[in-house]
Amino acid sequence: MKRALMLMATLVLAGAWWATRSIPPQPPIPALAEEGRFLICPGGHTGGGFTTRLAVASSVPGPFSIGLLGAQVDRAVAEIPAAGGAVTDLSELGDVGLSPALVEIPTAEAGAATVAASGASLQAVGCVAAPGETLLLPGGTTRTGEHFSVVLANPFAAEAVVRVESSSEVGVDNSPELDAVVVHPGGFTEVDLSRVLSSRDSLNVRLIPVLGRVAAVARQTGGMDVAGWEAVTGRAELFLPLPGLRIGRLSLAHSAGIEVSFSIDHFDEDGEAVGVIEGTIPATGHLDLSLDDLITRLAGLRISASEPIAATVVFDDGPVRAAGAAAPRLSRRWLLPGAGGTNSVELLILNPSDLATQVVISGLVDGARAFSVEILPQGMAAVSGRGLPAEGALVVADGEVAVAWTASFENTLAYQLGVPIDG
Amino acid sequence: VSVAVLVIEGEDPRPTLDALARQVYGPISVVLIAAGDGTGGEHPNVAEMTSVKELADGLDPAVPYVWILHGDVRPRPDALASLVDELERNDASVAGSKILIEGAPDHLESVGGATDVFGEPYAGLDPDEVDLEQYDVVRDVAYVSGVSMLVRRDLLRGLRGIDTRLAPDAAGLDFSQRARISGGRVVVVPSSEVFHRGGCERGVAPWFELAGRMRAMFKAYQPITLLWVIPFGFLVGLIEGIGQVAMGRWRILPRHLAAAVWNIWFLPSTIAARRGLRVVRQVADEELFRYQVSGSVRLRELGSEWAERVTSALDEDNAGAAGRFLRLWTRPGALAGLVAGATTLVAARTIWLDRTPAVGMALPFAKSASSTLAAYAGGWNPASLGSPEPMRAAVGAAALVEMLIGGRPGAAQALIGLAGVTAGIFGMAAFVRRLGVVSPWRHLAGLVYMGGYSMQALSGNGHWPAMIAGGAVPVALAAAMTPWPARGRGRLGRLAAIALPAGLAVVFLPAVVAVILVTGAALVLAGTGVSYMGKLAAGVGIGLGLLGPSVLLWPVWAAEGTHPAVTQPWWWLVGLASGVLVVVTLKGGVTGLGGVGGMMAFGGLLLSDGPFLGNEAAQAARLVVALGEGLLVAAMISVASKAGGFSRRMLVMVPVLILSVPLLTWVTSGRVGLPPDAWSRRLEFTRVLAPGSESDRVLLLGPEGDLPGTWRRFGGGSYRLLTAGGPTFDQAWLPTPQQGDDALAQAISEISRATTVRPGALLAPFAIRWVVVLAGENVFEEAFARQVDLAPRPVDPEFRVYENLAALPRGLGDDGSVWVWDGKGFEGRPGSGRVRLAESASPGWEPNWRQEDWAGSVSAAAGVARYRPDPKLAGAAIGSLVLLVLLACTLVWGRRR
Repeated sequence: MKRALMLMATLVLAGAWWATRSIPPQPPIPALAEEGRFLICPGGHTGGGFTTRLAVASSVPGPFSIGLLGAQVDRAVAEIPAAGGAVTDLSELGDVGLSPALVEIPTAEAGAATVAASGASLQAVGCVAAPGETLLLPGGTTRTGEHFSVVLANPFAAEAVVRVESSSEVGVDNSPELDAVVVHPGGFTEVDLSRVLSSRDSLNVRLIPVLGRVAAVARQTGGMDVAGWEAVTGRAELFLPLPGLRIGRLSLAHSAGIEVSFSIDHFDEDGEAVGVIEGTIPATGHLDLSLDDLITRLAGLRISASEPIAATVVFDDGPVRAAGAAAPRLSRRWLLPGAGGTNSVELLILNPSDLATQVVISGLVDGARAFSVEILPQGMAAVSGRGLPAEGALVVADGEVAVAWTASFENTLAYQLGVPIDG
Repeated sequence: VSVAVLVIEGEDPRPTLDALARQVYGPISVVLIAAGDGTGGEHPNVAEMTSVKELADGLDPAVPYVWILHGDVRPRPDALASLVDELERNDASVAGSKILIEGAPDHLESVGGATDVFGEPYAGLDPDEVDLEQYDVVRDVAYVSGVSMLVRRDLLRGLRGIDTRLAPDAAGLDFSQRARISGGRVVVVPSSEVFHRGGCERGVAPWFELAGRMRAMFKAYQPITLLWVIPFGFLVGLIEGIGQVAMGRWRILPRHLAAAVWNIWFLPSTIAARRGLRVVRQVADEELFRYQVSGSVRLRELGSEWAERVTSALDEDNAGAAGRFLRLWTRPGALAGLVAGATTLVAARTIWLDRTPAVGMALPFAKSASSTLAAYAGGWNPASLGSPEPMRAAVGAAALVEMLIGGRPGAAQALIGLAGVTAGIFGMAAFVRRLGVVSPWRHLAGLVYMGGYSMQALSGNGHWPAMIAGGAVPVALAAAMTPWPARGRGRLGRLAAIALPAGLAVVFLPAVVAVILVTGAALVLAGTGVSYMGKLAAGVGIGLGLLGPSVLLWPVWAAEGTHPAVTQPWWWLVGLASGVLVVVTLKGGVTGLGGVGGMMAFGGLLLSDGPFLGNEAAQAARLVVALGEGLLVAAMISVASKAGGFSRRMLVMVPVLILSVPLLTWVTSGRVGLPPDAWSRRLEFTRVLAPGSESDRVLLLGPEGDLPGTWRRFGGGSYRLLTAGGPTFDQAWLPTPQQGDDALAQAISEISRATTVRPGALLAPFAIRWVVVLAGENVFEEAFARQVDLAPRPVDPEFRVYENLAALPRGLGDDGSVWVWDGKGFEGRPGSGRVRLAESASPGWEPNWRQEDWAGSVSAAAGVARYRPDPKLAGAAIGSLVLLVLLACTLVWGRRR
């Protein structure tokens, strides 16, 4: 019996070995694509006399794609060259009016912005991710002669529902109509606040995602010009390089539900911190400060608050409308997609540190102009972007700075913050 | 003597009072209880009171006895005198009369009687039995009829009279039991004759009598008795109810239910009555058991009735067969087997009435048995992204059964399941019988084996194949323990009888080979199985031949799946307590058996719950524990049946009861311990919402234990892939990861990191059209909130379902044509180009296969793509089938005389 058992065990083992070796060897697995990211550009606008350039900038060359939301058009695939910038005319993809776009790009070190122009208006709006948190959009107005709307873009496959809350000069100023704004998958919707909440001098909007997530921009139209700015999440410290324009307002907002104290440090081109303004934002949500009370000439602001806040600067000088959000942080490297293509481009660089900073500015195409400037400690500088390409510019500093840019022609102005691409 | 005449509604008590007036032993006083209508006024010395208790409390202490008499009786003139004489002579506390039916004076109604442990009266009288003085002897009984009983006054006072909430019969039983545990004797005095008109029974619903008997039981028994009487009573009621339904009497089950509800409603007063009884209790429940019949009266009657029906169904020519059949029924072992079989049917009712729940590894069989068999016999294994690796032998066996019964997958699965469970129960009973446990209660060992803690740890995790394997194990062991036949032919038959169940067990759980051999070895160590070990090993060896292609190739010791570990730590305490009791109580010939059981239970528990074993080996260890549990119960039953004293017997039964506790959930769930159905028709939406895409795949993401079959892991969780339509048994086991599986794992990891906005595009090459996220899976929340090509579809309230907008078909021609998976391969439009098959790369595909990334493509020229079966595996599968048939034939041939 023992012999029989041993024989059986041997046969079983031999059979296992024989059968196992008949499985073919496995070839290596090809690696998948590297990590990627996406940007939503709610500020796109094609047709109706508008021409929108979508500028995409990246420190990593490679392909990217652009798709228009709400339009039955194919995605366009383009290439970021080694120099780092690419421009696409959105009207080439579709002539569809408001046309938020989705940019898919295989790197996190990238930024994009739309620059929309018509005969009498110019507007630059950055492209953003959709963080899924409460977004703040201070700085609007629906007073007579002004039109204020919010574009909600949902490029995702799931439906999004957003509660739109607002505050105005009268305090909390919600409309039941905006309790649940539905944004369909792969689409967008424009909320006309001039109709729903008309005749408000100062309007702050809070976007609370109920389902899904969205990206949003505000569109303020007055005179002939259009201003656009992105909705952002709050930060406890913000930086705002400003041009010398003094007609307009700085709007501060929060969603804390309590009074929020803040202080504003003021830097000018002489390299001196010229003063501190302190105050509180009411619990109802927002506070407008006149630029005329804040600055006298080219200046940069550092805004600190006891709770996360958002800050938007709005210029409304006669027919001119321009606006932009404050920078959430400082950085040594900034991409300025779309900052170029005209001689009126001006780069605004704020150096709040105690050391002078050397800044190198270069265009994002091969052979483009490159130059350097020095920014004084606690200083602010406006640098002409003459000769920079429409793709935009890369700003590299040896200290941490905040960078924005303006462009203008005739009675129009565009203001846009750069994209910080490292810590 | 004072007489308490209980006035019966609608009955005139005057005849009773007149008869009392004629008693030769004149009572001191007569009291009408709950009269209030002045009927006693016509008789001198007749008072009225509201309760017997009031009478007992108010009686002169010089009056020693109270005769409690219903108002619808006519006692003979010497009835009281006989009662008093016999009560005093026998030093009893309660004496009951012989009750005859008024109008039919020779017909007996009651001469006292026994009950079973559940309180069911057993008078031993046939219906319309004539009084031929055959019971005329004074004797101790469990109860006397409450129609006429003489009670000691002090006892009546101590027991607070009759329970007025109860129906008449139940009240008599209740009072008799209380009298007995108060230390009194209860006797019946047949010379005291009372004619009963039966008015007290009119209008009393049967359920009310049943409820009263239950209350009497709850009041009288000590807690330790109630601990096992209540669950077993429930089980008996359930079996009786179902048995009666089968005979067309549907009212029994509701009757039990109503009785239970009534008792729950009056539970506070029952508890209060128990408290009152505690003060006067003199003896333990053992004193009650002395006057009880063994087993269940109701089940016995049910069995008799069934037997009667079967007998009447047979014609006179078959009287011999009927006689044999009846004799079989009257054997205690057969009756116990009947109970075990009925219990199994009840425990598996969902399976045979509806379907086997689709959960864990208990997945519905595929609709095409032939395709599954072809895949098993060296064909393409379609699980996950496909594999040349052979399917599990269990899949082949299941497909074979399905084919044999005409291609009905649900019936085949139910058949295998029921056969497995039944084989386990009766196999275990036969196994322990071979080991010397001859008590009919050995079937309880079988029930504990298949429905106890350990087997439920397997079935509760959906380990259906392990359950089936477990069912076959004791059958093989029992066959091995049967005395070795003298002739060669018989020996061959016996070898086949070992090999066949052993082989089938190993087919369903390969690791079970160790269980059989470990059990055999343990019995050898205990000195109980030395002579059988060689035959067992030989039989198992032959049975291994059934495994065919799969077991030799499968990494059976480390396959992924739900680990059958025990999650409730108190089970350990239960086991420990049982072990201690084993050591304390086991003596004599069954010591070895108990020792083996304990050793297997604890050793198996250590192995299965420890970190040493992979999933399937742990399942096998669980089966060792289950066998240990069964052997322990068998040993205990053997000891109990031979134990001398009642206390010792009860002590021995404690671990049996503890090990039997899980049977309650096993029976009541109706799924033989399997979890509730989780997957039947759950993924039907994949067919409905995307017709024509039935062969595309579904990616399930969720917690490990909630996924059907086995699964794979990625960094943050677990997943598995299915063909659209739902999980099937042929996909239950995922094969060893192939190139495609590795690529898919990478893609899922990338999606989980939320670094892509197009997860659908990443999943498209794998032909994944649907992504289903189960509750509890949160890794993908961010990723699926920020993506553009997985559209949410609100089709299931518990799952998050996404349709892949970028999905590609499983077979895609380079001219855009779709090639459809037909269970054996792909079919599509012939062309000059190539067809990409979303199957893991394998050169077995034809025609003209070429590798593309992790997958491959074939020429579209033939309009068909097939996988070339592995001839070795095909041969092995056919060999297995031949061996199976040979074994079955040998078994039959070897048993023929």
